[in-house]
Amino acid sequence: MYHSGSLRPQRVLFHGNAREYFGIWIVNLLLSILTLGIYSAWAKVRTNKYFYQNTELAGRRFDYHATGMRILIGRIIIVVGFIVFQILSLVPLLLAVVAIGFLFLFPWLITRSLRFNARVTSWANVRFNFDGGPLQAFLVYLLYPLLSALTLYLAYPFADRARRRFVIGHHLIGRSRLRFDSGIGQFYAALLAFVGVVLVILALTFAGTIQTFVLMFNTVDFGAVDSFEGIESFIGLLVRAYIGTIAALVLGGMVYAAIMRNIIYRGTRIEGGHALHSSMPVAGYVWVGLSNALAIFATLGLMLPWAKVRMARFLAAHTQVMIAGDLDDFIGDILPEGGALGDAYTDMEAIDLGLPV
Amino acid sequence: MTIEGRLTYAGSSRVQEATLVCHGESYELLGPDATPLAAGPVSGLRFAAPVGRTPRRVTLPDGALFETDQMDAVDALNPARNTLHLHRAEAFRPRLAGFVLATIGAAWVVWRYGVGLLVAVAVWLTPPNLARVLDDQTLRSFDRFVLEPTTLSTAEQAALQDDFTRLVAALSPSEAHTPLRLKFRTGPMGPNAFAMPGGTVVLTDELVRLSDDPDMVAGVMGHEIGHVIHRHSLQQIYRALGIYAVVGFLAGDTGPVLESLLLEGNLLLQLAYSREHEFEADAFAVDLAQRAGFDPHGLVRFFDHLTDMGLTDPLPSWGSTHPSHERRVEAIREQIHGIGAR
Repeated sequence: MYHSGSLRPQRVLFHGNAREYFGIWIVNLLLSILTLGIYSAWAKVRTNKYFYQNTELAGRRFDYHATGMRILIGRIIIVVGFIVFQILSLVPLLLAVVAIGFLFLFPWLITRSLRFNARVTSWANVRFNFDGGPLQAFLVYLLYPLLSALTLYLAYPFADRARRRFVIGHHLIGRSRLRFDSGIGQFYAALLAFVGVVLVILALTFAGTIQTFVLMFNTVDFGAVDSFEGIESFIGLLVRAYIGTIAALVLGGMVYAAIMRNIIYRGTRIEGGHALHSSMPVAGYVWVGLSNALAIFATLGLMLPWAKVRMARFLAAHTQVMIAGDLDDFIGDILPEGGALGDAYTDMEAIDLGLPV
Repeated sequence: MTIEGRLTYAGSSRVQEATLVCHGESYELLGPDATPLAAGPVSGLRFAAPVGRTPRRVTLPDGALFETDQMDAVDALNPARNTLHLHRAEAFRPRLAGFVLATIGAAWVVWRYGVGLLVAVAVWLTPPNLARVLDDQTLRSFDRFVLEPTTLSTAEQAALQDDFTRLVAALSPSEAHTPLRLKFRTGPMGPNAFAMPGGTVVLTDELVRLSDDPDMVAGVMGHEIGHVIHRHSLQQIYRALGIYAVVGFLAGDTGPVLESLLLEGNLLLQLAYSREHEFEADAFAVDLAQRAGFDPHGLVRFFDHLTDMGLTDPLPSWGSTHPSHERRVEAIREQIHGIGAR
């Protein structure tokens, strides 16, 4: 039942501060190094607890319930599995078998990760849940993006929307389902903004160097192998092209992420008539992201806690939940979380699952 | 002891004001107007590990959650002392500066020795035939896009192959860990040579025709063999991956911009190591040429040739993968001088 009525906007509040998180972060880091990375599983839990518990909606806090041991076991299995995969794929005959095996394994790992992360997250003592299956994950994470590539990514917004629908629509808070829908036009607008930013930056980078690029073809060298000697003026150009391309993709990616976040939040409803809302200014997000990166870089990482808190505060300040009636009626059970295998995998591959919390 | 807070029932988002009253070993939970909600022994309560100045969380046996801002009162009841020690260590006090220094020191040790160790293990674990497979793939794609078949005569090729075999035969048993092979190609990159991790050394026709000086070409071949023997390419690949993995593992999520810069920017950092490798390969070439009975000055003549042709490095040394000719020639001369003195 998704009834509409008078909606009351409720701001999301973030109470964390940089000083406090700095202490947690530096102790996490020190213990992680001293234990050769083993403690990093517990460090992840502690960091998430800090950020979740400091996030408040309607007088109730979020919380993260995973345990360090669970995450460590998941990571060990994934690392061992990764090494076994690498060794098996060395044998040419087995390569095809391994690749096909991975096609089945990947969607399973993704859904396991989504489920684990949902079930260890709570708001107001009510746990989240995820009930999407691997078959659909295979469609939205592998098949649709592949098909959209065949259309030169012209149909990518459809694949993207299908993925968001799958991920959000299979999330529940307690027993109340989330649902996402949105017109396709906004997805195309976001893609267009991404392409526009990338093209402008590339044009600025390569203005006047086309001539040099043509010449470069005659002086090409190999970065991947040990080249003994040769004409190396192209390296300067290569470095420039490299930096320009990275800048274009990073900036374009941030613009796309900011627009998408607004679209996703505005298109998400929670059973019971509640709705999410995001009014994040794109330029503001880009500014926070870039200045954060600069601060971290300039202080060799010591400003990382400050940057993370700043970003969390910025995101919270532009997020609201439109409440129909009150938020007292969410009910749910604590479900078994399962192993942290999928979570370890998505961690390692740095796959952003973009949960709507 | 009386602690004011909020109670959330198990599996429900409904919140109400509540007071936790503890007398010794037992507790009582009271609702508004002192209506009793629950009671039992304190040992039945589960205290969440304290994190920062977030509300303290106490879970009742039935799963209901009691939350309060009276942190010190709850921390005093919490029986898990080790989580409290951790919490106290994280407090923003002067001693945190000591932790910062310790972390920087430990990170430096990991950077200086840990990554190197990881690389050494990874290189050691890499099967030689994998490197050879990579060689074949790389060479094939070069052949398709940039390189062309050699124009050297069979006799010329045979003579160079003989010199190459002579150099390989002079390798000590511990150095002869990778089977080496010599390939000839021509292409748009002028006098050039390169080595691939699987032991494939490629010479361009332009390099061979630079002058009629077998010692010079032997010097260049020795340099490329040096890259293979010291496993420079593999080390560089693993170094870039290793640094990314170590930083990712320790620092966790670094935000939207740094994430990509970390992996990409790494490659630029590799330039410093790459120059170290060039000197190492030069030294190896001089030594090997000497052992195989070639004139060790051949490599010096090669650099002089390039400089005469105007093929100097146009970039300042910090931006290049290769050190300048003068610095390399200088290093080689010093080395030969050292051999002569012995």
